[in-house]
Amino acid sequence: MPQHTLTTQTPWYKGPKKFTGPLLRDVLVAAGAQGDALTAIALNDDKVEAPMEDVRRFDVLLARLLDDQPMSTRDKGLLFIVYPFDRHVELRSERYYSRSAWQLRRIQVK
Amino acid sequence: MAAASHSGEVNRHAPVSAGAPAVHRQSASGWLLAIGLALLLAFAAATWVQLRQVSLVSAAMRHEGDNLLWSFFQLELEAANLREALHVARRDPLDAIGQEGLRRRYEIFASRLPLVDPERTGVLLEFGPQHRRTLRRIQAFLDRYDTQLSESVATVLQPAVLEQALQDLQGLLTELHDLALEGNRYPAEQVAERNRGVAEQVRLGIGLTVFQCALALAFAMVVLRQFGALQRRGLELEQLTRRLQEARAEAEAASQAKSVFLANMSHELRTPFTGMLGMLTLLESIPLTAQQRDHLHVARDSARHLLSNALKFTESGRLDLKVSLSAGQTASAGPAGPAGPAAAPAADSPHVEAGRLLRLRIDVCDTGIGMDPATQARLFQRFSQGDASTSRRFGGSGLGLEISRALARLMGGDIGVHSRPGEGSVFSLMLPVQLCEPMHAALAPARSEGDASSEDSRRLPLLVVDDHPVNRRYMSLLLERMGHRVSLAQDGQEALDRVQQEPPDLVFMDVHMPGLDGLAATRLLRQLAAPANAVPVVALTADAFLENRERVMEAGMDDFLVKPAAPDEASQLLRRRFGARATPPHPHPQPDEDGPAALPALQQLIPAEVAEHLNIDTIGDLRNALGAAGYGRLLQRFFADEVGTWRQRSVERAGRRRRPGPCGRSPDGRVVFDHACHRPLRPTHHRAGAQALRGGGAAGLRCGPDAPQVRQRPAWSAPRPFPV
Repeated sequence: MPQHTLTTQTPWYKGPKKFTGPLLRDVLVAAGAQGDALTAIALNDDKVEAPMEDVRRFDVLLARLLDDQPMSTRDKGLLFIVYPFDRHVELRSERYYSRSAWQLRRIQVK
Repeated sequence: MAAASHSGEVNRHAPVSAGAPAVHRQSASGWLLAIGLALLLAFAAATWVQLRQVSLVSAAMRHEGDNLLWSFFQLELEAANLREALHVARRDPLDAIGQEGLRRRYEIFASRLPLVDPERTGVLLEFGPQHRRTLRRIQAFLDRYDTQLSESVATVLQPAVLEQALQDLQGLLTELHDLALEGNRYPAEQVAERNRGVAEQVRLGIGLTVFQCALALAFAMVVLRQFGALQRRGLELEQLTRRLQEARAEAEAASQAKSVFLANMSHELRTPFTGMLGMLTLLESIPLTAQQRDHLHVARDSARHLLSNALKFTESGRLDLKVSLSAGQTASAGPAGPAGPAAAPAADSPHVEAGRLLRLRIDVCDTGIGMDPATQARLFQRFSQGDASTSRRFGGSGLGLEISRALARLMGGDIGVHSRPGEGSVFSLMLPVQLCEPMHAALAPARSEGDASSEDSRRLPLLVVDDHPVNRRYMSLLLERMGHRVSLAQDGQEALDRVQQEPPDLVFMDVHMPGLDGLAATRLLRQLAAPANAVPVVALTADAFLENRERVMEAGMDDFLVKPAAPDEASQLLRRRFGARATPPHPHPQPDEDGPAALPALQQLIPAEVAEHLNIDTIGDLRNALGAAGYGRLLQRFFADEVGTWRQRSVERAGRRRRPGPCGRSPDGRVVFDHACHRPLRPTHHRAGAQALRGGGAAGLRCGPDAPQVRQRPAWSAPRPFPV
């Protein structure tokens, strides 16, 4: 699967960080997932819902590497949904920060 | 009193108002500057406030993003979850899934700690020492158990470790709860604080806006005031312009009056000058020494020049220029004299055919003081000179160059100057000139052609029209003397009849005549059938002025002679028109042999009485023009023609006057004259020439108690034959 790199500032790290991984869009297509909304579920059973529109409009990354290193659970791994916050100013808001699920365990599409 | 105080106020006010606009402008621009600066500052402040608001909000957003409060509760929750997992693992130490779950919980708990790190949350929360200690204890807990509970460790967990971990975690949980509560409290305060800050910012913003409004208003007011002042100034300027225009009109009127005065004066000057010229001409017929003759010529030339050029120019303020060449005149140019400037004529092409148009250029160079460009620009303006100081040093009225240039331009040329201060000047006269056939060839009378019939054919048939018999006779004598055939007419109608019967070569037409005057007659003549309508007409008038000249030309006349027509002017005119035909061989040689003897009647006059009535100027003119014999015949006809009238009038006058006037009888009872003593002059003819002719009559007599007393001998007894 094509790997993408995204360097952006986030609320969770000091300074910009480099994230690497496939686009969430590609992953969902590969999985044959179809629907209007997706629900991301974290290791601690936190859930957050996002419209599929997000995935289409933005290059949302399903990051596996942080600064080229695999992310451990402690580093909010293993998977981290990262929006390109620095590329779109409208993303830098509570709405999209909350949709950036980390310690991702599962994605449900409805 | 009221008027006086009013004017006084105006006077006091005037200088103030003159200085006020400058002060007003200065203060206004100062105000504008101040207001502009204040506005700029206000805008800068507003921008700063806005920027601060934006940064405050965006900072809050970034860090609030993941909801800091939530992070504290999550940490506490994950601690509780970890405790639960520890309990589960302690109950069943061999359960791998339980242990794995425990490790996962441990990692999740550990991953939550950085989210409440003071570095991240410090923007919104103020951490007290208590909280920092709590965070340090959590970090210490993690440091201690990482080697056993971390996912990276695969060893089986000992119950003792689990027990210990549970106890340690229990101690942390209370503090974590406090931290969560504290975290909850701080943001509430922070929000209140921020609201306060925002409110303050908004107030500041409102204040700034109000301030800006006030400034804008002030700005508008100043601008309005400036606009008003501008309008006032415009109005003042308009008034000033109007006043200036009025002043200019006045000045022009004054100038016009001056011109009229000059014209009148010059006209008055013309009268005595005509007399003076006559006298000078007469003097020429007296035996003189060479030196005397020389002086006389200089005097006569000067008087002529003054009369023909200066006075004409002064009278009209403008000049009609007629360029003509006359026999014997050849263009010459060369050094004006040893002290004069050097002149170098330079035609573009020296060898050209007759009729070709050439550009003649004459450069006059000097090595004088020279001029700068500004002075050169002023040089050709009326009443201007090199500079004010040179007018003191070099004199002059500042008219010469202006007149010269006007003349040059009238001739289709120009005068220019190139100069450099200290190096001298070059004045250039440029004229378009047309080469003509050699003058002597065109003008030489063909005297060799001999027989009488051809001579006769070369005599010009001329018609003289004048209502006054003396003038008629004068002209006819003058023209016959030149060898032409002269017929006479008394008025316009008769002239027309004669022209129709037998068109002459030229008509001399008096302008002022009773009945059909000269102008009307000429107009009618031009409407006659050919060839009568093509006969050239020369006006005879005493009005030498330009307007008159234009008027006669408009009527269809071709030329112009000022009365009394000087012989050389008349002959020049004819030569101009008829060339060689104008000077036929003299068919009637009129030697002076019949002199005084032919005039027995006049010899009976008492000398003193004659002297009293002689107009010596006119006699000189006539004598020169007609020769002694011709003049004698003129006198004879004059007396024969008018004697009846004069006798009648002198009798009437003698009856009216106590003392016998200058008009009287000669001892033999013959009436000598006079005509003008009784006959009123026509106002338009009250001119220098006319007075001599009409007043004294062609006989050159004059009347009046102030008539000159000294007459040595009769004017017609000339000392020698008159050479024509």
